[in-house]
Amino acid sequence: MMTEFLKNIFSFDPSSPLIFTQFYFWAFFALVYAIFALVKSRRLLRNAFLAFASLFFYWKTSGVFLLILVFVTCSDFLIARRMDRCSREGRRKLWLILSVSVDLFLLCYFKYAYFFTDLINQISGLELRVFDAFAWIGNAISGSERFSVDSIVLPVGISFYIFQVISYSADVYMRKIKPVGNILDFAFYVSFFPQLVAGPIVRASEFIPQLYKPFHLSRRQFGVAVFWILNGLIKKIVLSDYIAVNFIDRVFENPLLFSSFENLAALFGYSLQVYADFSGYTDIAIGVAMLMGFYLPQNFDSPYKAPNAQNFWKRWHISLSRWLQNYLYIPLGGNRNTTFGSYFWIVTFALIALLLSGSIWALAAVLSVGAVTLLVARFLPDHRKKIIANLNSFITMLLGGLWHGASLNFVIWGGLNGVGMIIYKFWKDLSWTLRPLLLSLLTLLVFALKTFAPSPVFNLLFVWLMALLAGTLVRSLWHIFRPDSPGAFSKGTDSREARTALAGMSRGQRLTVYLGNAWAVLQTFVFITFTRLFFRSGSNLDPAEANEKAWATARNMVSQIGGEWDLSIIPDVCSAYWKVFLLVALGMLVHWLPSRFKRRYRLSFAMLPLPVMALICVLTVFLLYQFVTAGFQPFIYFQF
Amino acid sequence: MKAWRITIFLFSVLLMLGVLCAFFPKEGVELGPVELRFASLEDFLPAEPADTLEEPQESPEELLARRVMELRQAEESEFLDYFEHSDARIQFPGDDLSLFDPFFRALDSASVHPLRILHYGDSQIEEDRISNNIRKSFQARFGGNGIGLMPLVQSYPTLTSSQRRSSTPRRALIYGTKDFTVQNGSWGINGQVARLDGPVSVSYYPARKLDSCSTQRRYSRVTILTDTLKAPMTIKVGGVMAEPDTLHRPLRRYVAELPALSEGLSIDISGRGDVFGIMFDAPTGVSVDNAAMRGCSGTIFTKMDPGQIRDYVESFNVKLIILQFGGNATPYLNSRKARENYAAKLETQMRLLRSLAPEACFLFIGPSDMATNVNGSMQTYPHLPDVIDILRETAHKCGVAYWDLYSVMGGRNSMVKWVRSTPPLAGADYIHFTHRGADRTGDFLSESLMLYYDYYRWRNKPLDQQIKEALKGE
Repeated sequence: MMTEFLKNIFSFDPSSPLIFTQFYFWAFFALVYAIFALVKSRRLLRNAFLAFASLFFYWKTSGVFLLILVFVTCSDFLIARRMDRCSREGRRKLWLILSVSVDLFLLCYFKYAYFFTDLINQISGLELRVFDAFAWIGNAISGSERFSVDSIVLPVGISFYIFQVISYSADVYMRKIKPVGNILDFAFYVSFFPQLVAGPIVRASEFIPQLYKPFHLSRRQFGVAVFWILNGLIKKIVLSDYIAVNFIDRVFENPLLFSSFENLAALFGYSLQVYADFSGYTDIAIGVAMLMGFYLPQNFDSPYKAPNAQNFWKRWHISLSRWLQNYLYIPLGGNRNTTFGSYFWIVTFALIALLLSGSIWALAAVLSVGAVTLLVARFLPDHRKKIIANLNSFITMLLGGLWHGASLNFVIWGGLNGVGMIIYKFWKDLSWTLRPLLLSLLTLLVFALKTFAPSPVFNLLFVWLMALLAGTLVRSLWHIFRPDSPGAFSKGTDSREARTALAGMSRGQRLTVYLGNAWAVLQTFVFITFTRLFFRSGSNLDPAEANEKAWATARNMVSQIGGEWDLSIIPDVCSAYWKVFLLVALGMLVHWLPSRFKRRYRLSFAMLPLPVMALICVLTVFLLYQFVTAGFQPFIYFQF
Repeated sequence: MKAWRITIFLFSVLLMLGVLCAFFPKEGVELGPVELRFASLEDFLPAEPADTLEEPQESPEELLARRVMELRQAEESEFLDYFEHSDARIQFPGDDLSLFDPFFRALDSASVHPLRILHYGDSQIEEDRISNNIRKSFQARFGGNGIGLMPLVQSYPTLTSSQRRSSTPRRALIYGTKDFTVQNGSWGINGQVARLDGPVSVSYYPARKLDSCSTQRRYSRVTILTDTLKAPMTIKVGGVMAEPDTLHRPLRRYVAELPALSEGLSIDISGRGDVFGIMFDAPTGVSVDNAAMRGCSGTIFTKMDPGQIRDYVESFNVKLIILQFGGNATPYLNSRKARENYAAKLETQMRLLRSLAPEACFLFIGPSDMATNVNGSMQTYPHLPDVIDILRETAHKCGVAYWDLYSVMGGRNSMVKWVRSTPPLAGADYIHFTHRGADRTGDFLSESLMLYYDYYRWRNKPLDQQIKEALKGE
């Protein structure tokens, strides 16, 4: 019995990984913390212990993929040391290239093998299949057929820890940090278990200095950490899992079974669900790390409060945005210049467009847009900086999309966000008279399309443009007749600077800002929500199938939402799914609460007496259990 | 704050939760309309192995592949062993393996006398799922073309066809939305009626993914079924006039015989009245109709005009009627009384259909495995095996064969495996199959029916030929 128990503890079981929403993780964490409390004063021992605990955590989550994590740790540790010893810049660069190549090779091999195979097959007409060379080597070494060579499984968290080690090599190369002297310290940085599986992506220059600091946690910080953990658990279990299982998943699975209203509700619900899922996990990671005295960067800053697409990316998955900015956008040339990388990616994406559409015209169109952009940048020096910045940020967005998932629908999702950002940048410079004019023309064009080539997508676009036009018209008229009125704040009204600026305004002006901002937030939220049509695809599908599935889902949802509406069923739908709709409404309401208010109740919680806090923890777990075990919402059809 | 205090805090919370686990009633506490539950200490002990019918290591794809292999081996060696022991067999009342012989005899003469298979079901067969697999394999072996009976208003594209139409007439569905009232149970065959108030033009074109040489793409006979109350309509199919029949039967039909196999033709209808559907067939071979009724539990046939059903069955030589229901009712059948009530309703339906189609064979396909949240983990509905038992018993009582989709999938908790397989065979709702899952199921059902047909052929061979073949085998 005891042997069996120990075997269960130490062996890898793919069906029960250590995840934050399972009891076993918290038992693991309590034990780790107890030992941590004993060794915390001895820095080396503390880091070594946490490194081993993290590797054990990864073993329980991913089994033999632990070897990849160990390999990456050793390779980047050694290369960074060699790099640091070189004085010649050329050599340093070569070491950096070697390090990044090894890291990207592993990422591409495990994450993008199917994607590339699919691309090659489409270009060449061949029928290549993936072959897992690592599994083959594993079988050869073990003399067994233990590993399947016919498929390549994606190791958990590889996208996150590969980006972390790249940031380490790049920071050492740029001399932002000194290389870590002890491999166990470095292993700790790479594999720190709270953020290993789903981020945030910790940059070396921000985290490594913490390795050398003694443990310190104030009473208030402790309370805040507990708050983040509970907050994350509630987001993950109530706002994400419950509404997903009881409503959103079933609509996305088969949109044609559901009415237009249900499809639209599911799409908006999905926006909340995906945020609650991801940010909930990050909140827990931040809280757990904070309890051990380590600070992980903020990853989400109420993203649906963003008044424009550009600001959204400063609030959504911040650690990734910052990583992309530092290690992709700036090396591509940033807003200064184009580089070989810019041209390379334009050609690559032109080829992808060719494959997506099957038409040479798509290739020509992308190349032409790229060429025209570059020519305009060359001959219009006044606009050069802006054009180059937009080009490079668009490429960054496309690659950022590809980072989220190895299929073309994620590239499209990234591209749509890139387009949203660029449109906003040009839009904000337009005068109040030009804005409604341009929108009117666009609306007329879509109206003509809708009339002469009827399609649900044009219906949808038409309604959306009409709403935009109405809002823009009201705002434009207001600003034309009241030229002293302030516009919406491009960074929202929640920041300290915005509050200071608002304090100096009259009541009327403040109201104008708030209303303008509310409208901007709403239209950004709707835009982001519709890009999510491409954000979802089956997790256990190969890219060809994932693309097909994602396209079919997007097409069917658009066809339902842009199709005929039966308004009479809305009350019945709301009554049938009232629990889910109420949770979505509450979730959005809490999301849109002012940051200052949220900070206040977070700090009030943090300073509660410990016994009360412990009781709240128990009560929260008890309530969460009710959601975890709640019976399924029965299937009710409103669309026939 | 000292780390040891935090340790004590963490362990205190875990201890309090442990105490709650130990003392909270396992069966939960009812607090008004809410039932509160909490984990018990046993939940954290190593779980017992899952009680599945199959080996736990077998993936759903492997299970289906093994089933197909067994089925094919049965063809080559011993039929009876498979028919008696396989979980995937068709279960005949009184183990009467000759029950489908009338259907098989009709298949033998399909090249001269066309026949139909009518597949009724719930959302599990939407988009022509499962039916299209049966159609594909039967048309390949016995001839035939076309996609069978389609509604005038196709509200979603299927795996085999999509529709373009000039306008959308009002619709009434026996199992859902009703834009108007239908009198005297005049619901046609698939429970859908479109009411025309003016001219409409529709064309059905093959789905993009349908094989270019698929028999389902093309058709050479188009039959439009309407009511008989109003004056005849004017209908043209690809420019060819479809003439109304002159006999006074419950279903008025307009038939257009096309000079060649065609696809995507425009059907122009002018006039007023109710249209029950359009049939795309060939003059010979097998046609398969997919009558998917979203959300339906199969208790609607008694509301339909029996004359129309009888007319359809007799006129179009329906030889096999498949009923695939039970999934929508299952969540609510958690008491014995509820199950018995549902079974009694189904018995009435089956007896009625049998009386209307005495020459046809009947196959009931029970619910697939379905999972729900049981104490925090996805598991088969606890009462599903009882539902299946009573449905099988009822079907057999009515002289209807039963195909146990639940066992075919692998029994208890197989739906969880189907959802989690790579790629998934069932969707995240733990109820519906994915296209791939439906495709596998449909292919397997077709192969099963073919196996019984082969057995029928084998039984009907002259005795000396049987002996000769048996000796050759030895």
